Amino acid sequence: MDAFSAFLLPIILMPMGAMVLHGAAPSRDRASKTRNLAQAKASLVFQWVYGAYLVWISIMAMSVPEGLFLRGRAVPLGVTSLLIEPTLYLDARNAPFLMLMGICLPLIFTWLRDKDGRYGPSYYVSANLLTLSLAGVFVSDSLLLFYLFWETALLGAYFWIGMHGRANIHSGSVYNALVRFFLFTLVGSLPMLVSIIALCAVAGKDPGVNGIAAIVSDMAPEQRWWVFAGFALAFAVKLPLLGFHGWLRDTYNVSAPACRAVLSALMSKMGAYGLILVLAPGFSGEITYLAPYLQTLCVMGAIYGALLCLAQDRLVDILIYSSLSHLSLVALGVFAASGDVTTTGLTAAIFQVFNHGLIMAALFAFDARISTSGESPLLSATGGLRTGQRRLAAVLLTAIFASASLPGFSNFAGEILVLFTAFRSSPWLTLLASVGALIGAAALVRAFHLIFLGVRKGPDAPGFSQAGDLSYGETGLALGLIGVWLVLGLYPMLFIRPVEKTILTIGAVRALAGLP
Amino acid sequence: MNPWLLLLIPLIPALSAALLALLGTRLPYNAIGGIASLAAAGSLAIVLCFCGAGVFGAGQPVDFDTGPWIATQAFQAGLHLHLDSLSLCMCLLVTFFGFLITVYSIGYMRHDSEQGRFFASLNLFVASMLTLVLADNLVLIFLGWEGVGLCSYLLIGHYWKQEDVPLAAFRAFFVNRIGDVLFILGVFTMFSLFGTVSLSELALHGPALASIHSGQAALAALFLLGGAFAKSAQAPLHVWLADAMAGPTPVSALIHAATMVTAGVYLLARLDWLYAVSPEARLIICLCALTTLVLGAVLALVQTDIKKILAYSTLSNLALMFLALAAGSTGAGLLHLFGHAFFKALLFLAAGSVIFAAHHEQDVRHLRGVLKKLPVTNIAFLVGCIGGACLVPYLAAGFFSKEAVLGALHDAEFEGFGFRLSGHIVHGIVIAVELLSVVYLFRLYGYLRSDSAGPVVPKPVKGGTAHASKSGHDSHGKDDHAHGDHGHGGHGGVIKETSPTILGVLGILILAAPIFGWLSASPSLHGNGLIWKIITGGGAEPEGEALGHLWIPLVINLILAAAVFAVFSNGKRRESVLGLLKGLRFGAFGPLTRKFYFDDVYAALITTPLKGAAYLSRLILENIFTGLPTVAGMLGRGLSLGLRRLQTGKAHQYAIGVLLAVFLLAFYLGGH
Repeated sequence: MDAFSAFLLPIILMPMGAMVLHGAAPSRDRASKTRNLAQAKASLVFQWVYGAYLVWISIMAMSVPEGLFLRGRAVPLGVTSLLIEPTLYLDARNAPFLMLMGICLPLIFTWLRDKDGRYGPSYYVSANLLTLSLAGVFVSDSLLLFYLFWETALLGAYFWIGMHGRANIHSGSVYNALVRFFLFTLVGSLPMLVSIIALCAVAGKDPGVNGIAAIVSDMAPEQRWWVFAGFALAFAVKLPLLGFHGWLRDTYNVSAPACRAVLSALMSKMGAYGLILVLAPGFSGEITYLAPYLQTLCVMGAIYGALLCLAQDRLVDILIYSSLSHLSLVALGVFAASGDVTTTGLTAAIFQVFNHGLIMAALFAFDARISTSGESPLLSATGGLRTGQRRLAAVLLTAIFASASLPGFSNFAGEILVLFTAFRSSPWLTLLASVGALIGAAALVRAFHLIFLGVRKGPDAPGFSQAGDLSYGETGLALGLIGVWLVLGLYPMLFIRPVEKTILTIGAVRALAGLP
Repeated sequence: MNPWLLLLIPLIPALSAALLALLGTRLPYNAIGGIASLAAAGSLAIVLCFCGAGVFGAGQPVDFDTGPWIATQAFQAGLHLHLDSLSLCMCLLVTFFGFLITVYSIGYMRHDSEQGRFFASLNLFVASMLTLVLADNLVLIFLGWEGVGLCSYLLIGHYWKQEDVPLAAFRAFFVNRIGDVLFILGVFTMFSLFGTVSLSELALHGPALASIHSGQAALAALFLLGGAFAKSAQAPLHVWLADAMAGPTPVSALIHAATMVTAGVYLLARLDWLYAVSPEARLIICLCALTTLVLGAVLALVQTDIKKILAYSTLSNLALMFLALAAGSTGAGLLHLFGHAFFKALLFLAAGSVIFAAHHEQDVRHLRGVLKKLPVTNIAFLVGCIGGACLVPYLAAGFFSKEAVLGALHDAEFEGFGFRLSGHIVHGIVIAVELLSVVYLFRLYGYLRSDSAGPVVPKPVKGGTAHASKSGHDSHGKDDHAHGDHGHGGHGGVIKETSPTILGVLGILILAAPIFGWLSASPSLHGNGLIWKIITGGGAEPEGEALGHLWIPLVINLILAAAVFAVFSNGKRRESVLGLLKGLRFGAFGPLTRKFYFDDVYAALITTPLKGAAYLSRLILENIFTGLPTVAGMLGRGLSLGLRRLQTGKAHQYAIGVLLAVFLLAFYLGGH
């Protein structure tokens, strides 16, 4: 597949170009509203083109077990003898992450497009910076490149939230949320830099994401623990796991609606990617040792997130905490993946990440479409909104059921495998995790009932005005997305087979699973 | 027969459901009902074709296997449909009633504002139920299982604008979800133990393995039992079924009486070998079913909502099926499943006709004498009541099935956990409950045939949110249209038989129920045992009582029915008896008015603690987690404030510091 490897570059270069163009495009129109609308349109076109490209290249990469690999020229880092080799890779393990981006970005930017010319160029520049960083994280093989993109993602999110976020009475100020987000993420990522440097120092070169396992096995145990801790902390904050989620609520709350959807659908997947493709293959011994504690933490996260869902009065807060709950389940699958269920657990986790991203993109987008301002409706103050928003209510309920893992939706196929993996290590933890999922699902359905069904109330409550229904085009997009869930739910082997095959061909996992 | 046709059985209604969901608002009403009925008829036709393919009895099953569905190295579930005698019977049941009730709904839902959604859900339900009964493995069964649950939820919530309806739908969703969690854990336990979830493989290799690992097998049996209990509304997971009557009446007939609620019975019948080796599970089934049996029958006695009376009777009858399974007689349980479907669907549809004619009034006290003006519905009701109360052998659909259940219980023994329950006791309780069922059915029939004399119960004010009658859930999506445009008589208007589709379906079932009753008779009772043979795949006949021994209970039943009818159909007699009961303060008896406290116990044990934990987490824990950086910031600030004092800006103090450091360093280095 060498001939195709060059196709990896546009994954990063395209949003980079878009970023530059958005920032530097000369504007004939001085009136900011007209300019903003033109930028919004241009951005929409770009997201569709870029999305299509990502989906295409992911399918290409998933169709061959060995995937694509692009190796740059090796250059020494500064005065050191450390060689940096900027390498990119794409195979069935990380292609789902790109495909997720390829599907989510156009949908989010269409459903939540800027109709009023509210956002200036900086909105699109920071969004594209985040996009390119995310893509970079998912396809980088060399660790230094991985880290670089990891930090620029923080930068992109920082500016997007900081410049276009809005505080509301339910959240703290944008400034507070931003500082908290920044601190949490940086505390997570700086130790990772130390770990990466340590790995490079031991290897004498950049070992790459796929080479960690080989280097780690040469390290002394106490060294290994420190390196492990550095990585684990970064991923735990980004995902987030229970205890590392302090930044979550306020950051999402103050973000612009599209930003919120991207954060939940895509940025949280950085943490998931790290857990599944960096930590699990690289530090299998450490994870196996800590498995009971990590699994307990995940189950506690699943239940805690679900419980918090019950105590919220806004749909968006419920979504935020149900996301925490669901991602804890994904992590549970990763931490339970050992022995003969290794590949099953990892495959299921990748599948689940994909499903979760698609569902969260839809849920956050639809939530923001309920009111004209993008503010989430209050459960206690609204009711019977379905009268004016039949199509929106229908697709939102479908998405809620998809997130509740109804069989037939792809989320079910992923969740049953995750839970099965967990069941093999601990049936009782699995029971608790399922109870968590049950409570979370119930909270979402209850929220839907309170907002959309029953006696109509509060469509014109102070601070809330009900928006119009989805247009036919937008509903069509939603139906397309539902179609993806159904196809992958009724025939998940389309997804599972290539991913599992690729995971099996990677030596580290084979060794971990006790295979020759 | 081509196995691909098997796939078409659930696929046709599924496609129709998708079509109606997407285009339902644009199609004319008759087209919507027509498409939905045609889809159900298509499935019925294919199922009928398979009836001639030699699957019945001990015939050759038909398989349709498309390979793996959800499969990795460690877990496999196939996309495998399997049609054997039992599946075919269930398919017949589902498509027959599915078709009839879809046609019935064309009349019943004529004035509804959301017909597309209604018929789409109805078709999706038929598709899911067919998937459930055709699936060869537990995961695929779960697909159908959740599908029917979803449709049940959607249809219960059909009148979503009313205040109580969303809550009823949510309840059904939540209780079923609890069952689903247990079901999935049961699937995992089964796979871990047997290495497969395929029913046909399990039936081959399961029994031997299960007897070796009996502890694990019992665990799997209990988990799956939880799923079955939630779906089939057995205590303690029965609380959703009575509320589910908030849905339109055809839905109650199809989903909450004839088909979906029997899914749990079907599941246990499929896994009867598993329950055969775990007596503890059988004891639990027996105890829970006995509770439900008594509870359902007693609560049916005191309800005044016509649909709730029938719903509680359904609970009681489902419990009877579970008792048969617990006693080890799968055949008797399944026979009653079918018999119950016939008479209960008939009763519900007749009730629907009454409700429709009486402008969506459901309180029996306001429906006095309605049946006098509805001749066909009257016959349907009577046939249904006779079927449910087992008054006439051969003509009562439930007669021989109940006999089979009683026969199975008579010789059974239940033991486990060091506890022993004789089948004779259970047998006695069931007979007592049977008498109650005669009473509640003929109390209902008496009300509906009553003269209109007697004090008038003040009619609750309807309209707007002032929905004073808690029982009268069922009504149109009222806000959408005014009272007058219904086209059929309301209160004060003329009450008469209304829609031809309703009458046609009632007519078919009036004939079908006694025919089933006749065919279900076993040879020992001068029948040919056709149904029994088909259901059990040619299994051995149970030794029933000879018909000659049954005349005493029959006469008692008849006398009781006549007495109850005589009391309740006459205003004066009814008032005096009710007055007598009121004097005994029977109506204010706590357990009856509070539905045996199940709701209160759940509120105290589950809802309140959950909410408490949720708010506690939000107010305390969440603030700790989000406050971490604040605390870190405060610490840093404090540290900085302390350190700042060292920066005095005075040179001599710095010089002393440097000197001290040099000395310390010198000592340290000198020491080494």
